[in-house]
Amino acid sequence: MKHFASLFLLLFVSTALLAQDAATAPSPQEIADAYVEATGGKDAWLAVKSTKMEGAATMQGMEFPLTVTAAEGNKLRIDMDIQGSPMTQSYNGTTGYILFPMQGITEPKEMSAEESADLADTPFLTEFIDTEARGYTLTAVEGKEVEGTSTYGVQVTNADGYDRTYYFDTETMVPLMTVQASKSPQAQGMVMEGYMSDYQEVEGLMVPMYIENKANGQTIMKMTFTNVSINPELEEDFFTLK
Amino acid sequence: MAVVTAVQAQEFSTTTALFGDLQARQIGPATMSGRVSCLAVDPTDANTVYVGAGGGGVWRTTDGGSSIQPVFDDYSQSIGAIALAPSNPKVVYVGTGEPWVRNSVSVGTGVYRSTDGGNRWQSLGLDSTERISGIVVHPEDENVVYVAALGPLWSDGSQRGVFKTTDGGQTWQRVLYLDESTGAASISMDPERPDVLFVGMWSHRRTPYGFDSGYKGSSGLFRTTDGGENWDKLTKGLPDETLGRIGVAVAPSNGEIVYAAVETGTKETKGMYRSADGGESWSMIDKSFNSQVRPFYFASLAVDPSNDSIVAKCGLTAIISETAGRLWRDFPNHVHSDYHAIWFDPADGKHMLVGTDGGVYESHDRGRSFRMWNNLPISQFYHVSVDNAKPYRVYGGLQDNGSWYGPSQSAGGITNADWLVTYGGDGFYSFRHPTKPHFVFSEAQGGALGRWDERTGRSKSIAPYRDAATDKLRYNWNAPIHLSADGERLYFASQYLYRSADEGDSWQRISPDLTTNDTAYQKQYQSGGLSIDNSGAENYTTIYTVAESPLEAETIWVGTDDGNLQLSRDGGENWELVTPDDSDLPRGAWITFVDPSPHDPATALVTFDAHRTGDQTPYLYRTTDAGQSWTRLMDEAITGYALSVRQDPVNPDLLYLGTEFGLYISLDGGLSWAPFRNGVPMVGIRDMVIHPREADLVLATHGRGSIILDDLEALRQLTPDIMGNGITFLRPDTTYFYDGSGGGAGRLSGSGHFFGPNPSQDARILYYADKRHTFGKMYVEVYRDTQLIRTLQAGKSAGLNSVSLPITLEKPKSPPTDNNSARYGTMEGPSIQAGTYRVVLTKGKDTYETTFTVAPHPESPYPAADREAQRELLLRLYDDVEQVAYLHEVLKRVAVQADTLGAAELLDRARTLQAELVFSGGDGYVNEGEQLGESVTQLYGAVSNFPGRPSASQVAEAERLRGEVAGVEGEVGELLEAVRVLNEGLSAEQRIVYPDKESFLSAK
Repeated sequence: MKHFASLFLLLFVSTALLAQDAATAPSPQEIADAYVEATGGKDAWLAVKSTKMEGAATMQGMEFPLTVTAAEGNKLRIDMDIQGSPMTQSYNGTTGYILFPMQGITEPKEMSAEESADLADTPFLTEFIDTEARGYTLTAVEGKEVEGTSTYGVQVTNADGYDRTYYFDTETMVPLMTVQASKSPQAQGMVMEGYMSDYQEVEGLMVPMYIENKANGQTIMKMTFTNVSINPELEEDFFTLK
Repeated sequence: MAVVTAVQAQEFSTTTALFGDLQARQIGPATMSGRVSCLAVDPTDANTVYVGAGGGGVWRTTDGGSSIQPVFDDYSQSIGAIALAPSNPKVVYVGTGEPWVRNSVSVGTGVYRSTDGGNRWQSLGLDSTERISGIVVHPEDENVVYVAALGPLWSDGSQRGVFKTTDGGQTWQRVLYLDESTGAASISMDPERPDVLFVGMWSHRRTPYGFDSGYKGSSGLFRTTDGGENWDKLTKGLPDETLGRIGVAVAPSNGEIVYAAVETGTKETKGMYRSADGGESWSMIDKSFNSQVRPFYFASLAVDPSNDSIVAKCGLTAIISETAGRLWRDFPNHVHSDYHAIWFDPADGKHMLVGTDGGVYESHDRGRSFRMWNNLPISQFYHVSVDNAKPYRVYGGLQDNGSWYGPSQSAGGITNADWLVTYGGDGFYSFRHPTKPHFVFSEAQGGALGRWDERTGRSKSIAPYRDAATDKLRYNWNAPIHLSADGERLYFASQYLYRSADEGDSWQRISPDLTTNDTAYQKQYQSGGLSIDNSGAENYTTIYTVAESPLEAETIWVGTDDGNLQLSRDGGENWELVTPDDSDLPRGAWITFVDPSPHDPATALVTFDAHRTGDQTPYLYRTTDAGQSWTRLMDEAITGYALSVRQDPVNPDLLYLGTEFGLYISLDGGLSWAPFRNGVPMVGIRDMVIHPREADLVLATHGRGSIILDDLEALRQLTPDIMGNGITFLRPDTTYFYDGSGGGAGRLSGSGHFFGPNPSQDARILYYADKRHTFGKMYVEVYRDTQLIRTLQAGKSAGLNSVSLPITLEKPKSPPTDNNSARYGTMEGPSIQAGTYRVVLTKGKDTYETTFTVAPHPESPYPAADREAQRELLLRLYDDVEQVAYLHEVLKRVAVQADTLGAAELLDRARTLQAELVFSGGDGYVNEGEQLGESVTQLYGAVSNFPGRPSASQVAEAERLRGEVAGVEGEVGELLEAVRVLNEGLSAEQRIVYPDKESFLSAK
């Protein structure tokens, strides 16, 4: 029995090594399918209409409560609590809003399209489901070593200028990192990287519970999520700040 | 000859992944900036500028220079040309390899393209062109591009001439080629007729001992009118003699007008020419100094796109004519000399940018006055040293920018103003005397050694002179200075080695001529070819490196630029030639660096560099028997010719190597190597030093200033035996409470200034992980005995991870307020107590434990008793803050429920007390009220901000506030008594409820 175990291990290792060879790298579509399958399957993802992730964000050594809520229609809302004072940004699918009393924005204000560009640039459903039908194109790019782990690179683009590259763990096919250029006026052109880990199962879906964001290589925020709700009830207009 | 690599020795191999998230920091400086070789500006947006540096990569600003970032760190940092596609300025082409071929010039790796404005790059090949002098893009088609490849400088090569692509660089066609020594030195396209291009072809060659512009005689000015299919050599009106470097520019507004700077060997014909018939015929328009000066270094021209009579030429000083070349004026002398790039704003010809050996300058009056961009840290260090100050300071000499020193850290970040100059000219080695610290030894090119005295700011020239027994002294451009660690022995070398025991006031010659002394190669005065260029840059058969063993003062290593490695073991009485006898090592390779081992006097690491004969192979050797035998250390991972090397003074297997393409580290004594890229671009590293006290690796980069890697303690523990154990904690140092300056902020000087980052002051937990963590939870908990005080996010990377431990408790739960300063008051928790803490790292189901210790710094001005007094008071205030927060919460709950019940009196009492406790409303600025809650939180903030003993007033105020809190407590108690009475008459569902304090505090 022991003999079989080591044989199996050997086979596994050599397959993993082979998979890193560019010539045998899976196609972007194969990677996309493997990723969707590994994280719960297409049906399970399509059944998700909204998510709410609660946790904490660390910035410059200080920690603040954080809630990220998202829903179909590319709606997104980020709530932070800084010493009892809110910092809220949201996007309701067409318009972005901000409330940030510590910066003098004491009432919710609409953001310009330019200001909310990064918020708007976050599709709710992964681009790797119904990719083509939704207008996305997948392109293989050279994988790279992400935090000591080899990856496959897949660039996702669409006709509206969406452009994000995912790096998938060659063994487990979950994304370890994403790269995109910021579109917001404050950080225009900065290379924004997101590092994902602590994948955990939530109602049958594998969700990264830890995300570290870097801008031009410098860490700007680390997020740890402790509670994830799938399809939580949300008030109507939850994504429109008033 | 032994050659050892990891493969044959053992399984362990150094990889970049092992270094994990260890980060180096680039401290600049930007105050003198550095050589800019080219500029490119978005034709539709003058605020978007790409700056190409001679050795510091590509920098991009989108706000006219207010902020600027490097965007090309993963590739060769020597930049020759940048071009944006006029039809789509997001498409950017970069040609690597600077074309201003001074003796110290770096080398490129081909052409790259970005389609997203410089965020991401793709190699387009042409990777053996070494130097690119120009790129032009078709005005309507972003995929039609011409590349002027200067080609190899130090050898023959066919990868030169003009290359054309019509598919965005997927395939190239060489459309203009003359011979193996003649490259394309300048290219200009008529934007109205994009099939018309002009190219200056240049025959030239550098050797270690000379430069020849003109060389084989094939230089010339060429024109195509059919997109490169056919070329005409233009001669009418141009000098009928051997030509050298030619710079050419077509007027963008009028293709008939073309300007050319033409090098010849005669004063009468060398200078600026102009054609008014599209290049058919030419006439000379100027032969003043800056039209003729150093053509190999200054050959760039620019014509104002809105006026074909306005033309500017780079020079020692740039010159500009507004009269089609009839009359010229110099640019002002408040701009650094040595211009390499000029840009005119197509929308406003008075708006100009220039690139010089001292950075980028901007003019709004057509070159009459300029403002410098102060945020481009592209200084080119030749060498580096450190002193023993606290914090230590970094010393070095820079290409064309003198000798400087600056602090390794500074309140608010290391600024340009923190750097001070000790010497002029080109700077190289610079050392502060350890025991006579007012002295700094610095030098300028060609052996101009000086001793700067900080007390007066004066320098004394202290170079030795020849005597009857010596030949004329030959100093390398970069003559070696070496100072023993104790400051007792100062060394300086020409072809002879000198030693001084009195800070350079007198010298003893302790060697014969240690070079080959081959007189055939001693012809600096003839160097230059058509234009004599006797700057000292080609002085040859000289000593290039000197190093005394840190263990034995009598053991002295000398390396020359002509391949002699010499060793004395008796303080210079006798010398032995110990160059490795290895057929792989090219004869005459420069000995760029000797690192005598800090562990063993017979051991040394030596780098050899043969790139000046066209060989870019890294050569690194080690001896363990004082040069009797040598082992070559190599690894495919190392690229770029070798320039500097160090053995770690603590872990003998930890080695650092600097090449033209960055920093490499070996964890196994040189068997295997990996590039270190976290914060270290692919920049030339000419020198490095390890600070003995701080365990920092300080790099001299030739293009990105000085870079510091702070955490050698971590690397020292990354030994092969910690691998394979899942997670291994590294031994932590004791962490000291940081009492550092809160100053440094508040200089409201606007944007556009460089700040070098400081080292982290955090306590850190370092651990090595075999694999990246991707699935399941992973976090860190910190315990004092059994009490959990913090939960922290863990690093997830394979290799080295570093988790910053805030050495504070959680911040207090504070009452709500609309008073901003009160809100900031409780942003941080009190410092934890000095002592030892337990750290538990949880990864999935596994846990790993270690400890760390926090202590006041032994040199802190705040003794333990004072710290304890601060902590005690702060903890009392902490409790008061939370008590106020709790009382407020109770009142709030009671008020809401009383309102629902219609209990008006209760509601009124609760609201009144609430308003006494916290302030609400106002404007967050000048209409801010202060109630008891704000008083407590602000006092908390004030006491927390200062690590020493709180003032007596603060202590008294805390006492008074505690009394007030107790008073409110009493009133709330009475109110709650009324609630109790009211509740008695209510049903269970109706009763007013409120949390107890414990559950309030534990709720997030």
